[in-house]
Amino acid sequence: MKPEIPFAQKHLTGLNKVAIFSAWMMATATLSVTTSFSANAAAKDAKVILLTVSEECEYCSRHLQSFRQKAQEEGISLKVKITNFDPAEQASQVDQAIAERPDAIVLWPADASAIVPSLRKIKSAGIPLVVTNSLPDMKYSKFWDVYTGPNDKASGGSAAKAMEQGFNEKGYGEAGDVFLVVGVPGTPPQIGREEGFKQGLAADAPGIQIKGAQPGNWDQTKASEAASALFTQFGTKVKGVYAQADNMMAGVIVAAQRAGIDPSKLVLVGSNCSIEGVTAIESGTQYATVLQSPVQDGEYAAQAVVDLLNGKKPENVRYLPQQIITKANVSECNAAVGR
Amino acid sequence: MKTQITSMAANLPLVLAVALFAVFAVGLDNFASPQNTYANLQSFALLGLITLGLSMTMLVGEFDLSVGSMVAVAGLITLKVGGDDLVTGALVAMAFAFVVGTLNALVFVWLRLSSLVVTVGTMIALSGFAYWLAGGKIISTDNFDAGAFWDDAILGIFSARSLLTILAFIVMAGILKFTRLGRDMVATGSSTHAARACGVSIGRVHLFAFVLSSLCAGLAGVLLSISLATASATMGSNLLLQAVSAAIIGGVALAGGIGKPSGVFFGVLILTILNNGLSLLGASSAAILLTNGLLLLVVVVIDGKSGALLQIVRSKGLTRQA
Amino acid sequence: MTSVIGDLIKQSVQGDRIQVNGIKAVSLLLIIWGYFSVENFLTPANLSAIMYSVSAIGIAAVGMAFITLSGNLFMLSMAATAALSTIVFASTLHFGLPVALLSVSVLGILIGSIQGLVVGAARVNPIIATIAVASIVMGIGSYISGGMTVIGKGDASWLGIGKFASLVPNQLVIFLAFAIAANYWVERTRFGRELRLIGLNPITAAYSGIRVPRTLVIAFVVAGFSAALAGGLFASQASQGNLKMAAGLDFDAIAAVLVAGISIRGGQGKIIDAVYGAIFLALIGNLLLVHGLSFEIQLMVKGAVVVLAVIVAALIARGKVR
Repeated sequence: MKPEIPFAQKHLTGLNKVAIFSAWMMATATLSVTTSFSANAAAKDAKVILLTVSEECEYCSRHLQSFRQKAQEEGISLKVKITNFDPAEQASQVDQAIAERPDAIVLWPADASAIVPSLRKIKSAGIPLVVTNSLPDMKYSKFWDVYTGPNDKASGGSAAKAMEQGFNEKGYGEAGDVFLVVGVPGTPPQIGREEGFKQGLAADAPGIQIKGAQPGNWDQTKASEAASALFTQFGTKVKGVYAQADNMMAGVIVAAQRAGIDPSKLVLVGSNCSIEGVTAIESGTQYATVLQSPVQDGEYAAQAVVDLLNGKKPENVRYLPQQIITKANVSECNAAVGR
Repeated sequence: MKTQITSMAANLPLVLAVALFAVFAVGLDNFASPQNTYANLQSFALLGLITLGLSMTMLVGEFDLSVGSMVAVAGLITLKVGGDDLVTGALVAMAFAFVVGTLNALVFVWLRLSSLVVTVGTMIALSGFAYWLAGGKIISTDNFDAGAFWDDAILGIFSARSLLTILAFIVMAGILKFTRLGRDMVATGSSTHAARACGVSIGRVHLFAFVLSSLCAGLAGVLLSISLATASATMGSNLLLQAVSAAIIGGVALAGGIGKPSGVFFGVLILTILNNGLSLLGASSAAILLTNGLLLLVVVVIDGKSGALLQIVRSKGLTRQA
Repeated sequence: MTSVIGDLIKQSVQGDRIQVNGIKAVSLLLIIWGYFSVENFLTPANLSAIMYSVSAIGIAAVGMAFITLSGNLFMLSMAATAALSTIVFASTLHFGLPVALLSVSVLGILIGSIQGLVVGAARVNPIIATIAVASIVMGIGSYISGGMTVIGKGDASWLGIGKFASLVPNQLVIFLAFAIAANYWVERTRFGRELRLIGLNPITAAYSGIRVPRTLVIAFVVAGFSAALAGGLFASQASQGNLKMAAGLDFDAIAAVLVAGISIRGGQGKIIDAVYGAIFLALIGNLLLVHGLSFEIQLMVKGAVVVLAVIVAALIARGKVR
């Protein structure tokens, strides 16, 4: 149990004053600042800084590409800073970004919890803020203007639906054993998707039992080792697997093939519509995935910042759709994988 | 001629740091602004403490690989033990860091193992401990005031955190220059045998170096967790690489015996300024990785060469003294 | 003269067999325990799972053993080399599996020889040099791939899931063949004797006319090649390449070498020991997984095993000295 935080709020207003005062001091000190300090600048020619997590992950780089493209269309002058998922480095990048006094900041938290003090700093500097992809605890929602991105619990729920649907389609009826291969323990998508999946099954298909779960750490090799062990543990009783990302599902498929199990007989549900998943669904080894398009994710964030700059007030939280994708509608993934 | 080379080598970090600052200040609009200087000093504070501690173990001719995982453990202890009472948490974390440093030194002295091996062990054990402490979660606190105390700007460009780091460098420079212990450290790093022959208590020197390194890393972890109001098992995992680079750029020889806090100070600044400048330029992470790697490689190759050169100079100096 | 050196080597090798024999015995006990405690432990499916998990890591461990044996501690660029080679493997697969494997090998030999020259000829600290090379290689990798997963257009299933005589995975066959050949090379040839002597005492080795730089360059080439081959094995799983794929390979290979008791001081131990180390760790990993233990526990147990092995090795070495 975490204690409530009225005292933090109280201090915040005081700190706000200090921060605004010091911001004003800075503003008079540097000439360049005064020009960009006007409120409600239009999106065109606005200076926006995007702080993102990595280029070395498929999803992250597609997110970046689509954000960049949309920003270009709107005539935004964009600067990008990348952290490699390092919250400490990101905190100092936020300091840098505030120093550059942009018209808005778009932030993909390297760590949805460690980012909160930085969000607070941006807020007290009075810079409009869009948080993308990773949702911090809603009790801090006053620190940001808009959140856009996935709803991990809903994603897990869609996966549960796909599992139920697959059980019917492959003739397993309403009961059977499944296991989970999850992402890095403690990361928000891991927690959210697992929770959503469990709740979804419990509500709609209580006959489908979750027998075990191991982390695959968003990594194909680790996932394949984890799945090998789980296949050993439960043998041929397993009817389905939910992997929290398609690249981990690729590892699960390899593990099944190596264990002499035909993956197309299993109900394999992945997530994200990444290229591995699309290929496997087309070839029939994977049953379904849950669409979470990095392209849309990037576009939503860009749209939110455009709305903010144009003086509109978008809603505080805007989720991406989490659609089930099977062989029938796999072409809807094309945008997500950049085809 | 030789003294010229040594004095040049000693001043190189300063010259480089100033040159780098000048280039970016001219080339980039916002680089020299007070706010960006503040941001630079914030990065400096984190890396500076760790590098200072690590460079002391390098000075005595050893190495402490466990500093990265110490950062994570110290941060986790601060928040787990402290909750919202971060002072208690910080004290417990520092006590723990003290114990780990002592253990590192004791195992190293007793088992007569290479310090690389001992601290590889500590690194793994600490990182396991960190995962256990975190229990697969990210630990956070709602006490943002402590973070604000350490991070709020002082005189526009400083913060309590960066001032503390600068103070640590000054104190360390004083210890090395004015105390017997400091001189013993340099002597041990130059030649353990010669130092022992001159009556230096090698064990005490090693104990001091390892405890210092652990305490610096611990303090960095405590301050980081307070500033982020968060701690996790993976925090600080990539600091080791940067700290080694900064120390070597700052003129600390891997072979031991050479290195000054002032040099390390500028070494850390160089790395901080470089990464800040590249990031302001909008460089991709690939470019930053490449630059850091190339820089480190060039510097170690030079260190390998000049290290041999400096060793000759130094051994002559020693014989003259003797 | 040569026979004296030969005897010396034989003695030191024989004196150092305790730990690796212990590892073999414990591995056997683990198998027996697994048989009784886990229902499906000795089924073909689980056995082949263990074989797959040991192959790539085992190949890397064999390469790492060359570095450790040569007295240069560890190569910390293996994960990076393997990661880059998964990309190269996937992007050359449309020319066929042999071409993909060949390109990967060339890449590994190239990266290895650069490090060999830097460490062997320019005498740079191996840990730092290989860390620097790792970040350069990762930088190049992320530049080439743009962070994307590269999907290979071709068939790698012979290597990925193919089995020899429909019994043993082809990966395991490659691994064992490589390990046995490497072991023979080091035990029975002039190169191997020179490598060991350099590891025991590089200065004496240089004075007694041993080709130090040449031998070290070869050792690093072997290690680079094995890292790249391991990357090829990873990539063949699903004909895909990705920079995240080989993460942790450095640590796994080091753990295998340390557990097997290959001396970190250099010169002592056999290449084949690394194989036993890798098998032992794969068994532990599999047992922890099939018992459904949580991730933190797995990490802590593996860490504790490595720490224990290091301490045991130190105690054995100490006992021998006295």
